Amino acid sequence: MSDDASWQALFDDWSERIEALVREHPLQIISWEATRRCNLHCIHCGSPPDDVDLDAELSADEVVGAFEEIARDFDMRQFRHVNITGGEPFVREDLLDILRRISRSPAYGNIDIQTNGLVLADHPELLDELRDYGVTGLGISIDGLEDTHDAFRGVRGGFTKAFRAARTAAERDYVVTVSVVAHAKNVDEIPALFALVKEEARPRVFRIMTLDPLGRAEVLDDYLLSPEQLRQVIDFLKAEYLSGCASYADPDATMVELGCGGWLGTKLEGMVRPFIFHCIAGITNLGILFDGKLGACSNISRDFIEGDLREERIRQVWDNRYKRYRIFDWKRTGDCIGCDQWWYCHGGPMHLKRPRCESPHCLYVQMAKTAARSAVPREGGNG
Amino acid sequence: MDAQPGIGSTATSDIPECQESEATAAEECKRRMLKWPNPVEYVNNMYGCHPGDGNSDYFEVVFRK
Repeated sequence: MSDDASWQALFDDWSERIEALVREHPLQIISWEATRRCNLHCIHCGSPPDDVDLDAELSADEVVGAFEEIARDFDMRQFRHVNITGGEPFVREDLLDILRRISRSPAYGNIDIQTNGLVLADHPELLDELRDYGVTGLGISIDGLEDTHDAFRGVRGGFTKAFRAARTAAERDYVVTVSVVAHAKNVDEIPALFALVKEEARPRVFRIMTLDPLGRAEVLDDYLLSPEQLRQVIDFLKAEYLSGCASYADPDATMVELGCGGWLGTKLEGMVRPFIFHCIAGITNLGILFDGKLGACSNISRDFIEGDLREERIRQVWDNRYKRYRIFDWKRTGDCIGCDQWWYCHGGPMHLKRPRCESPHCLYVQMAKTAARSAVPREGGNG
Repeated sequence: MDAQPGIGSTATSDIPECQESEATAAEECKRRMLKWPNPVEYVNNMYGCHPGDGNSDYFEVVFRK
């Protein structure tokens, strides 16, 4: 068997297991959007408070009730973890009370929180309490070197605090992910930022997300990466991943990864991040939005809300709806028609989708554009 | 799309500062990722970054030397 055929067999087997997972859609992760409120005003925010009714936020009792209902109604044997997002979760004054109550259930002993780090920097003592409530991971956003981060996030001193929060959490053995949103204005700083973070904050993961045309960023054309800048990001990740991945079994090693911005093709997948990507929204990932609506990740368009926990049993919604998340044909428009990667990516991540439009920002297509400009032939068919 | 031959392989000439041995080691890790029973094990945990436990730990298996 040729090497190409061997790889194709591996990818085809992987794809079959994805399809089985879609059919079974076992609940493995809950994403809870704790709030849409925030103590920053980032110009690229993917889930801003601008267009929602903030007064509709779930109460602490409603949140705890939802988690208890899930633990009763679902088979939790395959459950993996709770991911808390926002807004900024720590602006909820009752966050710790909620965590204390939901962590009584053995199902919820693996919780992580995505934060800008401001509150944790000012109150590092919270890290001790969070551990008691099942929090094991913290994702902290740093979007460039100091001036760039502060300008992008709208608060002077934000970089210093985020960096301090990341370093303190890593020192206290949390699994820390430093996330950077790569855009046209910070792309040249990323290698220096990585060197600084790796040396001084020592997180487990340095994640790069590409700026997607979502939320406030929908109108930020000047900030979107060009295909050449995307190639620059991928080349950086590829070089760092390949030189470092042999040490990734060591929990003290800092891994690099491209986040869930999309499929990169069978050659690049597994070569720029320590996993093969497939969107899990609505497949293994149930989203509880700030107002009790049921979807998946908080940055997915609210056009894809599937139910409301204030009105329905969550298990009923999970079992009987979510068709748009699990049946992919409707996504096969535009560049996806005839794409040789369709059988692996199934139209890419849901956060880039709109009900009736083509994917606005496919990484694989963007990368193909740079290859075409270099007169390099596109990858052959696999599907 | 890339200047890389084959469906899964990576040409070292296309990778800045990459040694051939590094690419070979990464390819072996990639094979292990593709064989992991839960195809979204890491994605499920990517923010918490601690998939698996004990002897089945993802990182121990995928990135072992």
